[in-house]
Amino acid sequence: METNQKLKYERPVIKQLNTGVTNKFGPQMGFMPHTHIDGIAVKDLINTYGSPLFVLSERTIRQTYQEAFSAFANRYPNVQFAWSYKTNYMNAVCNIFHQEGAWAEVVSRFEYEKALKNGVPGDKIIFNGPDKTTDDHMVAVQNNSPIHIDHLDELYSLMAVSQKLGKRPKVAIRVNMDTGVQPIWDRFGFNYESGQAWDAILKIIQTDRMDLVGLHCHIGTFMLSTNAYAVATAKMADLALNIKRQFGIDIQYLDLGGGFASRNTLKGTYLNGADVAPSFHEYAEQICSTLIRAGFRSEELPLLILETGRALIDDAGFMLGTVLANKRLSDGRRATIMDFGVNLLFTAFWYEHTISPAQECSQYTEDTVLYGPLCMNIDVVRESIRLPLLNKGDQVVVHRVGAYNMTQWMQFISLRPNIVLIDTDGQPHLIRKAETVEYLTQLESTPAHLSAFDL
Amino acid sequence: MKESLKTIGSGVLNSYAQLFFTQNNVTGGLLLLASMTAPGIGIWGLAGALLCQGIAALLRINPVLRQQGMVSYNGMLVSLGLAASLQVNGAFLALFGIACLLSVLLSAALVHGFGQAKLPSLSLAFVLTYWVILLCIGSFTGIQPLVFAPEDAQVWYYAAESWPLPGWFQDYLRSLGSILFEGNLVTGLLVAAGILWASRISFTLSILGFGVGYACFTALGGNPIHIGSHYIGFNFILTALAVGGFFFVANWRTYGLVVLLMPLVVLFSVAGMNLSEKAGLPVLSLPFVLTVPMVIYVLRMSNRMPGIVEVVYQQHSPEKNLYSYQNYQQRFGKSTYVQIGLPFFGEWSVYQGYNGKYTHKDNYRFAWDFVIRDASDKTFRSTGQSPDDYYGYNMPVVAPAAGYVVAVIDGVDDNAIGNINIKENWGNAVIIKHADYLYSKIAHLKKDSFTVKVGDYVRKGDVLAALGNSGRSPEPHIHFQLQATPELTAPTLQYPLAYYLLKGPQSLDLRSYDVPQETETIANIKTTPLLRDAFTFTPGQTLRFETEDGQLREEWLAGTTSQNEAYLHCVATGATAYFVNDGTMFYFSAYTGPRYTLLHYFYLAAHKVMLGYYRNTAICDAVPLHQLDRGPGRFVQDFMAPFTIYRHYLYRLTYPYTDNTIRPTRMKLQSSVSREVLGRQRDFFDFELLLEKNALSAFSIRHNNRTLTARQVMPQPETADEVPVTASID
Repeated sequence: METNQKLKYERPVIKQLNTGVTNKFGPQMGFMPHTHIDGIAVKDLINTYGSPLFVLSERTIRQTYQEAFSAFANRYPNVQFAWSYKTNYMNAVCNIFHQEGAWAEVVSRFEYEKALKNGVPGDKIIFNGPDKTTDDHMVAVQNNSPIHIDHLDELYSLMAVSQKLGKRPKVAIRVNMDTGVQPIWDRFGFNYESGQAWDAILKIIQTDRMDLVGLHCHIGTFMLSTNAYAVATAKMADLALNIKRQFGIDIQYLDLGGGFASRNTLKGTYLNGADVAPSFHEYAEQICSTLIRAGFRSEELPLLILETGRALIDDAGFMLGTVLANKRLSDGRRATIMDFGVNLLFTAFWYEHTISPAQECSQYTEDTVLYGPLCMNIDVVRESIRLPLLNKGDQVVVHRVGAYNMTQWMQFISLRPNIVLIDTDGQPHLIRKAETVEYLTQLESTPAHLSAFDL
Repeated sequence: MKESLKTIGSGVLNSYAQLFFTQNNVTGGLLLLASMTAPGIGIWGLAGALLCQGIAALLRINPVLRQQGMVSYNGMLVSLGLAASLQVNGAFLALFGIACLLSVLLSAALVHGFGQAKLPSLSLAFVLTYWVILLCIGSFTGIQPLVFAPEDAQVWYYAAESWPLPGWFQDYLRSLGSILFEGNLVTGLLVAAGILWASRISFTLSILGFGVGYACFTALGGNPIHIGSHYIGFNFILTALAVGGFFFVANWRTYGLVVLLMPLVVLFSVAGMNLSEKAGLPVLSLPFVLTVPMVIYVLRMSNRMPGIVEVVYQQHSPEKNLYSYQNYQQRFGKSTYVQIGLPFFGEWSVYQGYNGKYTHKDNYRFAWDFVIRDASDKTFRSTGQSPDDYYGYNMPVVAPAAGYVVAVIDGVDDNAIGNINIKENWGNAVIIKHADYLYSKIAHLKKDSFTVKVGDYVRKGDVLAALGNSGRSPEPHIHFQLQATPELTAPTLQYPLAYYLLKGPQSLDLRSYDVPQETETIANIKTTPLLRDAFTFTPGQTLRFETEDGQLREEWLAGTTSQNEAYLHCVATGATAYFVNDGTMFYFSAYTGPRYTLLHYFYLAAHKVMLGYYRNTAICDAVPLHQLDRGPGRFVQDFMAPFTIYRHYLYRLTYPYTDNTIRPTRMKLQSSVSREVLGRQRDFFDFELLLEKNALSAFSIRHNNRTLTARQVMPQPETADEVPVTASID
């Protein structure tokens, strides 16, 4: 211990004393600094790769996947996961999931091509979403990919494609339904209760140009109620059994989609996300036991496909950042400006992200507004967060940022930073380089008359 | 008519071959030739065999017995004996006919009579018939005994007597010849060649048996001359053949048994020899006829002799009996009548196995405890402080096989982690009856989680309850055991699991009739409808296969025998391949008929097929040696076979292609048979099986760089789907 080290400066803080629940000294936030990720010091990561920085933990990804898979595969004999590309389509991330056995689930031609380039066989890429052109359909049909039909116009377009190619597409329809959770997600797919879904099924079977191989639903996002999945599973199984009964067609798979909540805290919820988010086992219990009881013969149980993204990757992602400045607002609140904002941390719009200091910190905390670096009023990372006293240059770790950030981020005002993956041996790998001005401008072209100016 | 002529033809040849426990036509021919060294005798042997076949056909005796020569070889021997000792005249002809009739009746009666006790009657009918005739001829003046003329010594084959052969070997050959009543060296040499051609093991045994018998006889002070002159030497040989490799599976123990028995045969022979001088009846093969059934009967009844195994399915060749027994032991030695699977979904790890270090002891030693482990070998998610933190907790447990629920024990609360409930040791449990004296028990389940009740019939894989932490369970785990009685406290039964997949570093390996060991991670096999359908052959179904060049065309009929063995039979080639489809596995158990027919290829190509599609799993098995091996290597191996088998035909099957992993409609299977000799492996056959339209549509055979493809001719012609091609995106 160096005794001659200058004590760290702590700014004075005036704070209302809260009595708390049981503690006579008031509530203790008990802030634990988060100094290492998978054994590597945050400080070293920032020194090497700069700040801000996204860090992904391969170990956490694999552990989470294995737990999720086992939760289903130990409850149901026929389970397949498909990695939702839109959640995080870094090739390194996708390939971890593919190595673990997951297929690909894509919602655009861009993601489709990414999956193909990653080496996923065509018949293991599930093509979802409302946005598919005729050309997309042609390619997907040629590759024997299951196509999940979202609306009747897509159905008609696919019929034309199948006629043109002389090949029967493998299709599923997306079904939406009332699972007792509001709002009902009815913008995607065909409604179950109104009979739209059955109509679409009839159209597919009676025109006899495609093979109806599956049924797909995706009842919502960040579903905190597991019972909704039991309702959805029962309705899907009912459709599948009716198809078997009326047409003798075996539905090969039921895709229950995703929507499992991660342990982030949604804005506006009272309780901490980590405490209320159901575990994979709770979702699996509802889905699998409903499916097993649904009435399929045990050797004809359909394949259960799950496309959950968020719950598989959120915990594995960290955002490392640095304090740019502190200031006090006119109403007296403390504000801290970070070097990352909503341009990188898109999920800050939905979540109250957990943020920990990355170095030793004071036990005293202060209500702070956490701003991003953008010169734009919306750039608020946390409207109110209780943080220990941070100084300029201090580093922080934002937790559970693995889902949607690395796909929804943007180059608004500033460029996107490095992404580092820490492998299972604790070695860091740069999986996406920080962008440069050249990179960003390479696609631009300036008309000749605009190429020069004189100021 | 043609059929019955064929039966008579092979029946006559087999009358000769049968003497040395074979049905080899070449051996039959050689023995026929050997009997013709003295044509005057031999021709009557042939006539006797033909007459017996004719009589047996008239009596409508079972064609199989006739075709195997079982009812005619005794008559053939009697005829040879009569011709060797009596003058041929009218009375002889009458006597010959009566003798043949008597021998056929006695043969058939004794075969069936002894057959009741599953014992062979051997040449007892010959001995009896011959004695009856000998006892009669004294009263018939028309019958004249043959008088040895001095010029007989000038017969051509006597030249062989001057060959420089050791004395014992000369006696060996004479003994062989004397089976045909022609105790000369040329006959003996031809007989020895016939034995060697049919079976190396029999040949070795004939030398061994004779050698030991001869040594024993001379050591006791017997005169070796008597061995040849009194026709007793062949008893040594025949006993050795019967005991050493024909009725028992040949190995060093049966060879030892031969050595042990030979003094007995010597004693019988000498006793018989001396009796015959008093009674005037030659001892013939009586010592052999007495010894062999006695030994078989005694060993069967004691049933405690390790390593001495009776041949159950007689293939009339010591080599075939040995190779198929050895192959059967290797493939199905541990197979069970009821196939028991694992009582869970997904992959679980064995926490405690047979003779475990915690509680699987004494009466409860044949049981398994299963838990779920994560990548870091933990059984719980976070701290493991409460049961629901454990991966296994609340997971469904399923029926390991079909059966009736006979007991459900419910109402026991879960323990806190680390605590055990010894009062209600098994906690909540379910017991299922799968068959008489076969029950399974699954214990430590969760209270109120049962989805079955007593009396329910459950199918394999049906959910029974959820796992809890009740009873003697410090942490949630499935206790699984098999037992012979339905009580909760019944002791465990040692009973292997039929099939399961063992998780290896790269792949899942198939285990058949095995016992999961501690720390292994295992899973049930998921079957694939296409594989199930393609390898289901319903009795009465006909499969037609045709090669692409149209050269080979076969029609196979599926059926079942009275023993309920399923088979595919090709009428044109006479080939039969026996198979088993137990819902998880399809495999061939035996093949009879000519080699290199399409059915023979299919027998090899689909020797063992797991009916579930697993891309990285290879199915390994072994093909019986005698189905493929031939040539000088095999000849040498046959000599060594009772002691060591060093040539192996290894089978391997993989699933390289499917069009759709969820519900395949088209699949390719690749299999190969390779020969392994002393560690060196050589590819022998490569096969490819193509499944589509829920059936086996084609299979191809590659051998020595030649490829043959056979397609199934479907009842209604349908066009095949095109193979999906992965399109590239630019």
